Amino acid sequence: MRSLKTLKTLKTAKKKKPLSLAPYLFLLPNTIIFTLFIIIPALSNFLMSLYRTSPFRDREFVGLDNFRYILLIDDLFPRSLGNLARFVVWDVLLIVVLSIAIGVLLNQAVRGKSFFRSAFFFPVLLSPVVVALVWQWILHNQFGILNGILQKVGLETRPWLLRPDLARTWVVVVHVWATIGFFALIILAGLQSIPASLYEASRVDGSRAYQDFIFITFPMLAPSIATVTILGMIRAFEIFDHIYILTGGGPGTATMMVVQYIYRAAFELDQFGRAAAASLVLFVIILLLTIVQYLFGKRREAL
Amino acid sequence: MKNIGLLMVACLLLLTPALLLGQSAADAPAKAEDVIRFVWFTDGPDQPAIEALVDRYEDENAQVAVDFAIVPFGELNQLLITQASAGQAPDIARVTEPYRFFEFGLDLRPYTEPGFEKQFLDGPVKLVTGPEGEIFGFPQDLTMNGPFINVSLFKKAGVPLPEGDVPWETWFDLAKTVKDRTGVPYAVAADRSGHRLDGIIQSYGGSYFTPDGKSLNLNSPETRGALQTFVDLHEKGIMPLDIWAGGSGYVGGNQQFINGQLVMYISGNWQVAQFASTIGDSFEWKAAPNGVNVQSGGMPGGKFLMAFESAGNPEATGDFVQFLSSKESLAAYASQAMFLPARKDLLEEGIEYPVRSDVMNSFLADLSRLPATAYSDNYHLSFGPVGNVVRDRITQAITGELSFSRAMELMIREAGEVMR
Repeated sequence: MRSLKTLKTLKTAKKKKPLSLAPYLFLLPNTIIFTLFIIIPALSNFLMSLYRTSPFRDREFVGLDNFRYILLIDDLFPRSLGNLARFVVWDVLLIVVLSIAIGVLLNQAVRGKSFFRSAFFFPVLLSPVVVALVWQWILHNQFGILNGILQKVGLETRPWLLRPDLARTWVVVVHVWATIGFFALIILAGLQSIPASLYEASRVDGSRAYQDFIFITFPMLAPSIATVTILGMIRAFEIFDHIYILTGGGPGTATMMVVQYIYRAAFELDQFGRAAAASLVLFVIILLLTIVQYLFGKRREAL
Repeated sequence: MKNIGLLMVACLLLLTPALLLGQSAADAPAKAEDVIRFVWFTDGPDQPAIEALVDRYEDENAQVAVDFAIVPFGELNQLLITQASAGQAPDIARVTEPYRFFEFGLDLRPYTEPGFEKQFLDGPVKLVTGPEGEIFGFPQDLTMNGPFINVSLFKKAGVPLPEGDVPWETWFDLAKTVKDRTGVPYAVAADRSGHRLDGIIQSYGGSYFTPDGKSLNLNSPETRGALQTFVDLHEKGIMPLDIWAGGSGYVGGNQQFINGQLVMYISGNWQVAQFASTIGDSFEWKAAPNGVNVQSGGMPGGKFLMAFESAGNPEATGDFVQFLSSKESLAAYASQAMFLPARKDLLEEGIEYPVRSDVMNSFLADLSRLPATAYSDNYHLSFGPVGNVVRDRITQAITGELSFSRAMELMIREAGEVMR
């Protein structure tokens, strides 16, 4: 009898439950846009990667041949992957270290704090094209400001963007300069969420500033640092516009990254199938990173 | 009630874009019956020339509005492919490699007079002719590669200009001497372009493709020799790294020439109008014949107007194409923009240029003695992509990233892949 009553109650509850159409309607515009501009292009990209394309021939199904070419035959794809790996390591390392340093400095009670916060964030608001053009003017071999200053003070000038080692360094510097404000802001938010009572307690115990940083600030900042690392890595893997304008991937292919490889294959060599295959490889790399971020986030929540 | 309220808000959100679109359509002023979307990239002086023609057409055809947009050359191919793939192609666009867009092209034969294409030179027309004989556009102008010389710098250095047919090496040595004596930073620069590079290769008897167009000719001793010379010029500092190692895609040396810092600039006749207006009386300059090693060099080229399948009215597009390709329109355009015409009748009659006819005639003279392989290379369907491969691989040799022989090996392999 009791179980029958429970069933009836459940049925009544089920009947009474209002139709929740509204959330789906709210989701609908975004779902349509996401499907049209992300899902369908991604699927057609996958299909395209299985074909050889040409502007003056019908496309031809080649199976995994495009993947075989870029991974086993082509020298430029591994080179662009190597360039990208090197870029990501230095870029993310500098972003993490500098964003912590800047975040800690901006968190101090100093005069003009708001000005400094705005100043560090300002480059983030600039278009990558503007950033790259400005730095190109600064670093130009013959007419750049930097070489002009060096010449004025009697120092030797350098072809900053024409020597592979120097160009590789500058693309990292410029990208870090342009994006560090965003990451410093994440660290700053993390710093401000650390309870002041922890520092008060440690001071009572006689701790020093560096001990506060090592034993309180750094562990409490770990989630923010993880976010900065993962976001920094994803953004670094997708790098294109800063470098395309600044060095064009050169000198030679010294700063050619994967997205530029894709651009060249598609729009300069008419090899859309090859470009699609390369973009799928990049997609898998970024997907793996996102999964790592997701798992890391879940673990953090569990803790 | 709460749910109904939410539903109404959701519906409102969904409808807002539609309402806004409806509103803007209602507010829009009365439009012409046909709108022709026309995409252009500019070399500079062609812009006022084409704008004048567009204005004239609109004045003569009140029912038509031409939506004229200028895009940077570096973005042109990507933009057109993206737009055309999305079904948003313009009705007409100025392009350099029409074959890239054949699958999106509008066959103009039903919308133009019979024999429309026969009015133009046969070689360039091939580039707008589809595999089934479709005519997707017309060659709007011809170009010719060749070097420009800063005569003032030669005079200042006390170096006399050579007369007659001169091999490239003589020009390079003289330019180096002028550079050293005058203290300017650059001796010789060539645009970073597979097209310009092929012009030099032609002088040495080389080419990208065999004359029948069926195979690559990159490994021939003539082509290899010319490419090796080009790399050596950078190693010796005769050509600066700034152009070929200073970017991807096309990089020009026109600004260095305009600033009077470059002795010899290998480019083409499309620069003449810009140089005439920007250099003015700052220094004396002229065009020189292409270097003659085993034969005269240089490459022909040109810009094309290409019609696309689009949402527009093909009859209106055809009529606009007829207008732009007419003898009168092309004569006015070529004269104002200082281009060489591709119409047979205009080539016979000649064009009266407002300034520097001497320079234009120098290019015309070189055009008449171009080797056959210059035409067969330029009108090869894979010329654009193969030229880009050669450009990029030779850059790797110039920067020292690869040895010359390794760069050649990879160049031939990649160019072969592109041609497959």
